[in-house]
Amino acid sequence: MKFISLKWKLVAILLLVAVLPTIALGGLTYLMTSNILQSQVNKTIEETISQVNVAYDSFFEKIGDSLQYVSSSRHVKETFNNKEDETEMIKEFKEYIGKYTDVQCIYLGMEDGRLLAYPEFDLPEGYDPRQRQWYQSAKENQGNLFWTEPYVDVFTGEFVISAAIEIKDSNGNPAGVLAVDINLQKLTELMSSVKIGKSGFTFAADSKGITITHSDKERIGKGIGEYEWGKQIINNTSGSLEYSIDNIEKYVVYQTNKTTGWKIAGVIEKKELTSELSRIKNTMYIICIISALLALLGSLFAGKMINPIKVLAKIIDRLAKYDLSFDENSEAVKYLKRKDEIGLITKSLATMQNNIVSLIKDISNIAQQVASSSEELTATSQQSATAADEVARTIEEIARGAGDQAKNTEEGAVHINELGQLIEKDQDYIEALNNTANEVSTLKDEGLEGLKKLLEKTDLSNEAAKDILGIIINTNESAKKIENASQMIKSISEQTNLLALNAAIEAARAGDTGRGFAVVAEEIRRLSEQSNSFTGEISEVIRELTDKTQYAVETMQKASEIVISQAKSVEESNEKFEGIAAAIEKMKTVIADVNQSGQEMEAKKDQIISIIENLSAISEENAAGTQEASASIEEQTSSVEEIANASDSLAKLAEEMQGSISKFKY
Amino acid sequence: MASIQVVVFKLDNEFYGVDITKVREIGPYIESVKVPNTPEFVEGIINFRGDIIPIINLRKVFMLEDSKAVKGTRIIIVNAGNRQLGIIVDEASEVLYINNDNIESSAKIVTETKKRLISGIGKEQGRIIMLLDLSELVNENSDDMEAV
Repeated sequence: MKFISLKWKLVAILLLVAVLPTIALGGLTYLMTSNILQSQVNKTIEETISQVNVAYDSFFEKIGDSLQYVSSSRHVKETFNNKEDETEMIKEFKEYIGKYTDVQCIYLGMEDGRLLAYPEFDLPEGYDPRQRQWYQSAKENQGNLFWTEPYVDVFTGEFVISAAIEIKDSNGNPAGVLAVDINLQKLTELMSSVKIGKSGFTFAADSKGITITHSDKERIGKGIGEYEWGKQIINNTSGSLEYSIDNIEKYVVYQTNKTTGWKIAGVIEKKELTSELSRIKNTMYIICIISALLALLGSLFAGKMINPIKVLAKIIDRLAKYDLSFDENSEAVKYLKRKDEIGLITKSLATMQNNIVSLIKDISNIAQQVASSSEELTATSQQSATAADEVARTIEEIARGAGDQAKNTEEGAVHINELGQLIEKDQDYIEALNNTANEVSTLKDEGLEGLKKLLEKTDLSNEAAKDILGIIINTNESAKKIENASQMIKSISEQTNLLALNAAIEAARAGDTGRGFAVVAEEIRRLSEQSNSFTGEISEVIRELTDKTQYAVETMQKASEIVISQAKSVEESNEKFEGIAAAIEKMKTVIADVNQSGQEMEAKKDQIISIIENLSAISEENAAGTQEASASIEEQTSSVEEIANASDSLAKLAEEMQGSISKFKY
Repeated sequence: MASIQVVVFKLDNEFYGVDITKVREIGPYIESVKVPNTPEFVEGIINFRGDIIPIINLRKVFMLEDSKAVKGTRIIIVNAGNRQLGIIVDEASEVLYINNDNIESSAKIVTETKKRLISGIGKEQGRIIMLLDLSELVNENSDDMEAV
C-alpha cells in the first residue's frame, strides 16, 4: 500500500462525512419522496379508477336494473300477444330513453323476428334480431343480463355496448330479448371528466384490449394489445406500470371491472411526478456541493492538525530504528506544552524514551550479569553433573555392596540354620557327655578305693626299703673305711716307690759303690710296686664293692625314690582322682551350663535368624533404595544436563539480548 | 754292652727318659709360685728342701696340650749345667737301663724343637722312650733363666 498521508485521509474522511451523508440523505430523500409521490399518485389514480369502476358498476347496474325492470313490465310481456302492446311498449321505451339519457336506444328482439326499437331506426334488409349475437348470447344467459363487448354500431358508427336480457312471455316461454345500446361516448364523457393530475386521464378497454373510452377519440376502438404494457394490462387483474408512447413516459394504474371485465386505467405523464422530484434533486445537488466545499475548508485545517502527528511520526520512526537519543531541537519540544492529545502523546513519548533508555541500560547490565551467571551456572552444573556421576557410581557400588550384603545375609541365615542343627546335636552330645561323666565318677570312686589300698602297701614297702638302705649304707661306710686304709697303704707304697727311685738315683750317682745299694733300692722299689699293685687290687675290689654297694645304694635310693615317687604318684593319683572328681562335678555344672547356654544359643539363633532376615530385607530395601537413588541420580544428572543446556541457552539468549540491546543508541 | 741308666717318666702318654746322673731327685708335685715376666713354659718356682727351683712345664715346651696335675704327677729335679730345674711329669716310676744299640738318633725324624731337646730315641720292651737333652733345655732358656 502506498503511503497516504493522514491529511489526505482526513480530507477524504471529511469529504465523505460531509458529502456522503448529504448525498445519502439527498438520495434517500429523493427516493423516498419519489416513492411517496409515486404511491400517492398510485393511490390517487387507484382511487380515481376505483371510483370510475364503481361508477361504471353503478352505471351498469343502473342500466341492468332498469333493463330488468323493463323486461318484467307487463307491456313487454304482452307485446308478444298483441300488437297494441307494441305501441305501449314504444311508449314505455320512450319513457325509458327519456329517463336514462345514457341509453342510446332500447329495442326488443322477438322470437318471431320482429324488432321493436326506440328510437326507431331503419333496419337493413334482412335484419334478423334473432341472428344477432346480443340475442343469442342473451338467450344463452337464460334470464341473466348479458353485456356485450363493445362494438361499432352499424347505425351510428360509434362504439356502443349493449346489454341484453331474455324476455319470457306471460306463460313463461322465451319470447325475445330486450336490449339496450349505450353509446360509449357517454362513458367517455363520464370518464373524461375524471382528471388525474394535470395531464392525466382515464381510459377503458375491453377484456380483449380494445379501447372503449379515451380522451383522445382517435384511440377509441384501437387495441392496446399490441403494446407490451397493453398485454400486461390485459392479462392481469390490476396493477400499475410504466410505459412510453410517442417518447412520452407515462405511468398507468389499472383495474378490472367486475361486471364487464373491462380494464379501467388511469394514465399520468411521468413528467408530472418527476418535475416535483427534479426540484428536490436540484436542491439536493446544491446542498451536496455546499457540504463538499465545507469539507474542503475543513480539510485545510486538517492539514494543520496533521503536522504535529507528522513530526511525532518521525520521532517514533527514529525510535523504531533503535535511536533512543533525545533531540532537544526537535519541534516536538514545543508540543510538550500543548494541552491536548498531541501534548499528551509528546509527553508520553518523552517519558517513554527516558524509561526505555534507563530500562535498556538496566537490561544491558542485567544481560551481562546473566551472561556471567550463566557461565558460572554452566560450570557449576558441569561440576554437579560430574559429582552426580561420581555419586551415581558410588551408588552403583553401594547397590552392588547391598546386593552382596543381601546374598551374604542369606548365606548367614543358612549357616545359622545349620548352626541350629549343630546346637541340637550338641544337646544330644551333652546328654551323652553327662552320662559318661556319671560313669567316670563311679569309676573314680572305685579308683580312689584302689588307691587307698595301694597307698597302704606302699607305706609298708617304703619302710622295708628304708631298712635295707640303712644296712647298705653301713656296708658302704665300712667299705669306705677299707678304701681309706687301702689308700693309705697306696700312698705309703708310692712314697716308698719314690724313695726307691731316689735311692736308685743316689745309687747311680754313687757309681760302683752304690751298686749294692742300687740293688737294694731296686728290691725296695719292687716291693713297693707289689704292694702298690696289691693295694691296687684291694682298691679294685674295694672299688667293686663300693661300686656294688654304691650301685645297691643307688638302686635302693632309686627304689626309695621310686617308692616315694610311687607314693607321690599315688598321692598325685589321689589328688588327680579328687581333681577328677572335682572336675567331673565342674564338668557336670559346666555341662548344665553348656546345656543352658545351648538352649540360649538356640534362642539366640532364632533371634539371629530373625535379625538376619531383617538385615536381608533391609539390604534388599537398600538395594532397591540405591536403585531408586541411582534412578534419581540419573534423573538428577539428566536434570543437571538440562540445566547445563538451559544455562547454555541462557548464555546464548543473554548474548542475543546484548546484541539486540547494542542496536540501541542512547 | 754299654747302656745308660735313665729315669723314665711319662708325659702325655709318651715315655721320656732322662739320664739318671743328671737327676737329683724325684719329688711329689707341689704347686709352683708364679713369677711374672717369665716365659710361658716356666710354671713358676718352688721351695724344695730349702732350694728355690724353677719349674718347667714341658707340655708347653713341647707345645702339647696342657693338663692339670694328677695323683701321679711328679716333679723331677734335674741338674742342667750349673743350675737345677724341675720338670713336671705325669708319671715317674721307673729307672731303666737302655742299650746304646737301642738308641736312635733323632735327627731324621723329629721336629725342630723336639730335635734339640730330644737327643735320641730309645727302644725298650716295645716302648719308645724319647731321651731328653737337658742342656738344650737349659740353653734354650738361658737368658730367661738368668732372670730367674
